[in-house]
Amino acid sequence: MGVVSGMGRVTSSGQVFVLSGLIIALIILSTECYVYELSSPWEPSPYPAIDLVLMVQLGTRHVVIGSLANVSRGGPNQTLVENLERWGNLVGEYGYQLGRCTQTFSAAETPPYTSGIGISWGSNGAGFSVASANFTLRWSDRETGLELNYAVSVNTTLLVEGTYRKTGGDGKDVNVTAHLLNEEKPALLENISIYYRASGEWLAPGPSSNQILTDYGDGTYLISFSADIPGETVEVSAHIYDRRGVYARANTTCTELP
Amino acid sequence: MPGSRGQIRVLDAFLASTLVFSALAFTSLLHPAVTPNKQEELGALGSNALIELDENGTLALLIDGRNWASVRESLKLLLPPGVSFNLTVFDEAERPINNSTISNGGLLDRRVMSVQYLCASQGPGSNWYLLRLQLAWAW
Repeated sequence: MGVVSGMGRVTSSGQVFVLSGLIIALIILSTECYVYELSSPWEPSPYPAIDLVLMVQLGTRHVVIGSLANVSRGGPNQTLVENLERWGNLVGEYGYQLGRCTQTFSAAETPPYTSGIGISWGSNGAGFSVASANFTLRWSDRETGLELNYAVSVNTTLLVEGTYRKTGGDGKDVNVTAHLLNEEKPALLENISIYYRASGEWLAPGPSSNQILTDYGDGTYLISFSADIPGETVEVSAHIYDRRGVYARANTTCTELP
Repeated sequence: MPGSRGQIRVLDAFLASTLVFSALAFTSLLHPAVTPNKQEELGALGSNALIELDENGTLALLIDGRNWASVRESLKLLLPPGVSFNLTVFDEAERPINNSTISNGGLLDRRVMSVQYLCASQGPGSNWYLLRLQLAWAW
């Protein structure tokens, strides 16, 4: 009996030992599983605030350029303001995965701007299409806050000058030089059309006018053509689209070469 | 008898400790091989790639033209080797518009970091897109 009882105590205490080990193991496993589930990163995670700023600024700049392209092609002048309001709503809704993000703006209203857009296609050899607005970007979460003021100003400037030489009768050889600038830096053309004024009408050089376009690769373009233009005054007009799709035009009076 | 009793106690202790240590060993497998810092780095890589592609309006231009193959190739170039990605492009109404997969491999069974990006087109049509880039370390 004594031995059995002794063995029984030993066996019972051994069972308790193993059972305790099993319970501890289960607790460890269940705790780790819970922690693993909590830390599982399948949810969208935030990225640095600097990336948010870059993303919103880039998008805003694209919106301003797109709006300028729209207005310069004949769209309503309110396009920029409407688009920026829509963009601001989108930024507020989706701009950041965590936290609160808002962007407000004020479109430039001082001349030559109206609703943030300025169009001046003059006869003095210069034409420009410009857009400008100021922005305030605010972002905050539970720990940090950020406020950034910045301005976006984009412009497409076309400078035109011309010369001509008489070739007999009304015939004239005309050279038109166009300089294209985006934000005061040389820019590339998407398309250019040249017109000359004859008998009060703007005409495009015909197929027989030997029109040649020379691209100097630095935003400078030389267009040469021949045409019958009555009188001593040769007026030309250059119409361009830059690579961003913004339209501008400029007129000038050509200088006669001996 | 005392000798065998001692042996049984040792065996019990060994069994119990084996249970506890095997549980600890198993849980160490549950811990992610990728640390939180590596996941943050993944998010930064993804957003940097999108920003670089968006810098001169190329990203929206490719999306405007539904040129999904070029978007995929651009991301493959901009993201370092060893990063798997899957990009979904939504329109303003949150409808997915990419009709082919923009991915360089599967993300299944990997810890995924998701980056959300807003992209505006420079075109006069004012097309804007919401991009969701999912990223994971390939190993």
